[in-house]
Amino acid sequence: MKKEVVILIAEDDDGHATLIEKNLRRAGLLNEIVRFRDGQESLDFLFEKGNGNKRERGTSYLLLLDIRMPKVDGVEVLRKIKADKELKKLPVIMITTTDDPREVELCFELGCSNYIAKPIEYEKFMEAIRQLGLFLLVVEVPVIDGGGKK
Amino acid sequence: METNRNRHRFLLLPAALFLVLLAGIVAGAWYYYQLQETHFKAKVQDELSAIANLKMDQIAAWRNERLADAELLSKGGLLTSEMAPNEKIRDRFRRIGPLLAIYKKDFGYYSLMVTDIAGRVIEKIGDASHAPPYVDTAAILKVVSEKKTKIVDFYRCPACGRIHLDVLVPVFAGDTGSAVVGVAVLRRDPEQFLFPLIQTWPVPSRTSETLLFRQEGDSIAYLNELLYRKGAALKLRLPLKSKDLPAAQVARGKEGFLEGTDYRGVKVFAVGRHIPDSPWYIISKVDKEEVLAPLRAVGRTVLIVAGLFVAILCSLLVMLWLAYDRTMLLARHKEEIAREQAEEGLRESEEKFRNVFDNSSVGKSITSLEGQVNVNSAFCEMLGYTNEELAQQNWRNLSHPDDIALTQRNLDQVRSGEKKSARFITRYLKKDGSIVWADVGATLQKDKDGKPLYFITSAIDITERKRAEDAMQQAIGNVEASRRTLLSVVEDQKRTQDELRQSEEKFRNVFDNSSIAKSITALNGSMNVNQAFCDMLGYTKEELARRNWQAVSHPDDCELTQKNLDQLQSGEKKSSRFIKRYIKKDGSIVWADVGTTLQRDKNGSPLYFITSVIDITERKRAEGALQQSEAKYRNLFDNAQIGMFRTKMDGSAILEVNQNLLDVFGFTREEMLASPSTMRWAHPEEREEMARRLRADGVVTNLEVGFLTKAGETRNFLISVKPYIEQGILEGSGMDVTDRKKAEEALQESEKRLSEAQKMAQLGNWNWDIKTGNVEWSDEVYHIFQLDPKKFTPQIDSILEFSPWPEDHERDKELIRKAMESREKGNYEQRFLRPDKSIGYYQSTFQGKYDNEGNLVSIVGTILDITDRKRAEDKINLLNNELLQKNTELEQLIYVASHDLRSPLVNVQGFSKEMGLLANELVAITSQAGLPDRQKTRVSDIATKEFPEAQSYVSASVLKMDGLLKGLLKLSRLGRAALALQEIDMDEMVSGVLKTLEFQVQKCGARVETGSLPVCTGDPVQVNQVFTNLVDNAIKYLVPGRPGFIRITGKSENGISEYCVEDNGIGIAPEHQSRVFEIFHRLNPLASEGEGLGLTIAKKIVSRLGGSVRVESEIDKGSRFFVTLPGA
Repeated sequence: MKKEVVILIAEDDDGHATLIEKNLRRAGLLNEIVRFRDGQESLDFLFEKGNGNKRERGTSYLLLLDIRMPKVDGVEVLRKIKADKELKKLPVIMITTTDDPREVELCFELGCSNYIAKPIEYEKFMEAIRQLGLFLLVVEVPVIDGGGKK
Repeated sequence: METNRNRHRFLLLPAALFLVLLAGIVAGAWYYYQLQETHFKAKVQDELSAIANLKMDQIAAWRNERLADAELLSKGGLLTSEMAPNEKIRDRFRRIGPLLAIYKKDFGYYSLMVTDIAGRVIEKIGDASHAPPYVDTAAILKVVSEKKTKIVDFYRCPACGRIHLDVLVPVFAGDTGSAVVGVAVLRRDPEQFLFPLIQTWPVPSRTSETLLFRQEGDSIAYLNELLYRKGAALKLRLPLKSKDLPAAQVARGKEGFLEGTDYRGVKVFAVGRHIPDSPWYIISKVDKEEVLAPLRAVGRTVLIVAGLFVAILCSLLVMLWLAYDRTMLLARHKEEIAREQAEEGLRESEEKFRNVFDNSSVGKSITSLEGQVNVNSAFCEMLGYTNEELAQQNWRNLSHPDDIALTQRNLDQVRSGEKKSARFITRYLKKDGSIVWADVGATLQKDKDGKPLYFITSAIDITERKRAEDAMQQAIGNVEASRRTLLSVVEDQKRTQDELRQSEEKFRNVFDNSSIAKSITALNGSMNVNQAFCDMLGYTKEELARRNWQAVSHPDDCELTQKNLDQLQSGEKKSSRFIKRYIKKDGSIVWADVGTTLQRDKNGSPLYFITSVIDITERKRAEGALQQSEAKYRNLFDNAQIGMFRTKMDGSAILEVNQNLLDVFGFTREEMLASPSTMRWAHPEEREEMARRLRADGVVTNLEVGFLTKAGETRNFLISVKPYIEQGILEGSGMDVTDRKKAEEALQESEKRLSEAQKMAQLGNWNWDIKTGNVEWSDEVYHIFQLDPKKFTPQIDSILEFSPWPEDHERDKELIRKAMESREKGNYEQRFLRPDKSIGYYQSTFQGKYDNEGNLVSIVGTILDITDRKRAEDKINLLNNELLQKNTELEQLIYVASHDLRSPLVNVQGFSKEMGLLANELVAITSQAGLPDRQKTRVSDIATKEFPEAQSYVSASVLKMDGLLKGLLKLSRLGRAALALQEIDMDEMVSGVLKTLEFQVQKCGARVETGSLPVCTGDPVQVNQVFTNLVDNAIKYLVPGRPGFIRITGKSENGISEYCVEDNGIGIAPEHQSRVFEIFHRLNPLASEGEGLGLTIAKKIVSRLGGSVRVESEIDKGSRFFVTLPGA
């Protein structure tokens, strides 16, 4: 039997992260959620570097990725993930404030699985995250094994 | 034949090689494609297997859970354990109803029912729509009898039409296995969980789906909804025997990876699995077309690469073939030539030669060793003969007699082998007798053995050149020739004087060697003469004795003689001497110098005359010759077109001048000779210079000096002078060169002005004479390159050498080459390095000059210093770049700022709403807590009124701020959007705009009028935005209650289209007019909605499109917005 999918949230804004997590829980998602405060933390976790938390092999992960973050921004994180032989299997969903068509296009080009623009109106925000939660409930996520070396 | 066979053999190897390589390429491409296909298939198999297994696991787990649920309910579960002894099932069911309701909800059942052992429904929870409820009575009876839980597989409910799955659980009276008192029916709606579970696909795919199906007799029944056929669940049945149908294959027991045709008839890859412990199967499938789409791309690439290889091979083969073919052709051609030579000997080559010979534009001749010529038409033309006239002529007859020897010498040299070829200049005689100068080249043709055959001569007519050279020579030698003429005249005179002296000597000899003729003449005239007298006149003494002097005197001189004799007789003179003529016996005249005295007696009475006569005929003759010579000299002297003069050596007097000089000086001869020659010198130092040269060289040639005319004007002369020391005189010639000098000075002046003009314009010119290779630069060229004209000698490549950048040279040379080829003017701009290493720029313009025959004679060009202009351009470019960068930075700033500013808004809005939720929860809690009513009401007020009010303010502010930020983002994106310029039909566009705004127009009841609008050039989407914004603006600011009127007009002028959107709205006060285009500026924020961006955006768009926008407005009357855009 496989392990549960672990949801990774890369989001520098604590408020946003809280709201996302709250609404995912509301949608009935009970999975483990790991939060990163910037792009570098996310990369260290995924590529098993630095002193912090590291991913476990043989586990399924799914990354919710903000674009504008300190140190390394989301686009760069996405680029690095999709350039890695093993990590490119990791589904990445962009959740970000901007709906700039260029940004959207760039992320899809780089290989993100989905792109969600955070609506300012909270009702819409809740609905968007709820839909995401429902999606995550049924989606199948591949296991990430070795690799992760650049 | 032999050659052909060789050729085939030669080509066999490459052809075979080609076929082998071709086969190799095709096989390689096929193998690669197959490899890729296998790889793709393996990949899709892995993916489908993983998904099918996953689904299978999930479905099996789900099914087992359902059975476990049922067991839980049945054995020791709710129904059994709560049963009071002898309690009726209905009562029990009702008693534990609330618990069952929770159970139903928690486990997600569609409905829960209990039946009696006959299958009649006693009680039910949920599914209010089902009346009467449907149950599978047969299955219930089976459960009652078998006392075992049973699943009624998917079926379509006859009562409601939905798909159900029922789990039937026996309810025992006591322990499990005791009597069955009823059956619990746990009903599930698979559409609520199972079907979505099946249908989701974990990776993005267009055609993938999972199917759940079971076997029903000899057919397959699909259980879930199909992706491509709605309403097919439990309705679509396909035969089990279908060979290709993946579902049928699975049902027949073939699990795992399959290829086949699915229910739509589309080719698919599929993986099938049987769900353990159930009648169900699943199929996960994907269209082959989707999976193999990337493979087709690979296939195309392989095909292109293979095609490329084949093409290269083919072209190699063709090249090989051509090369071989050419070699063969060449070889064959050589053979043919050799054969023909053998057959026809020299004739062929001679004919070829004749061809070249006849068509040559240079005169050519084949001259036999004896001198017979055989010429081409150019030669004939040169000499003006026809071909026939020149046939077999000897060259000696055609040559100028003076040049025959020269020609012969050259031919001999060539013949003897002393020279390989001769080149000389000779004269030919034309048919009309005129002379043709020719540049002749001659070579000797020999046979194989080295025996001379004939001469080949080419002759180029250089008469014109010669003539030009001669004319030049003549011009240069003009003064010298004149001087020589003068000197020769002088020599001539001297010679005449010598002759005179000689004749006098001769006379004196005659005089000395003979006795002087004497005569005693009586007063009556009779003579008594001596022998000498007789000899002089050729008479005998006797003959003369009978004659008087009158008889032998020339009749014209008798009077003179008589007069002299009378003077002696009268005593006036003692003796007289005169010259007279005698007539000789033969009638000829003898000039004589006669001396006579009168002999008187003692009384003084005249007795007779004694006369001595000297024959001076010879002297007289010499004097005549002298006079003649002098007249000749005088003639030359007077009529020479050059000034001639003779002066005293010391300049104290002018002895003689000719008419030419008098004319130049404006004197009469008398006036001229009246003053010393020194007076005529304008600059005395020049006279000293002449004297110095005379002392040094003995002669002065072409010295330029200034002379004063009668009018006091200085004229320039070129003089040549020769001194005659013995006589103490100077003779010379002088030519007035004042006009020439003036012309020269004028030329120099105009050159100087040109040079100054060039200096001012920083424009220099140059000239390259192709023939001589001379390169001339004007002063400004030196100045531009900062060179000293005295130290630097320009070469043709000098200018380019100032630019030590090889890449520039190639570009410039290419431009020059093109200009020369097209014979047009060319130009280029070029940087160069000055001697001080600073960099300058020039523009070079140049053009070739051609002679009448089209040969390039020279290239002329200009060099313009454009350093200042370049610097200015560079500065502008720099500023432009800075501006661009600033603009980009600004847009980036707006973009980033508006994005980063929006981010906190999510939190503000989100958490304020979250607090609302928390407040609601708080109300719920406090409603249960034992609070006094007053506080309860307060809490309720806070939660239901004040909190939402506060929230609404927060929310409205957030949305407004979001609107502003979105506006900023929109504006910044506008600056980056690419423009798609095209011609726009504005009538069509504006009517489209009005159609879009029709609702707003009708709402405010405004009347809209549109004139005929000219076309313009712009981006249609953005121009549409401009007019939408303007019309929208006009509608927004109409005066409420006054009938609105909006008019759109346009006109075209000077290629610019101007449009006007006019309204009768509230108008804009003058002080606000300039601000309406500012960002977020709104006239009346309360009266209308909007972001305050419409006009800002319109202005930005129009200015990006190269147009402008302005407003004219009067308060309470209305506004007119004018938009200009480039015309079509």
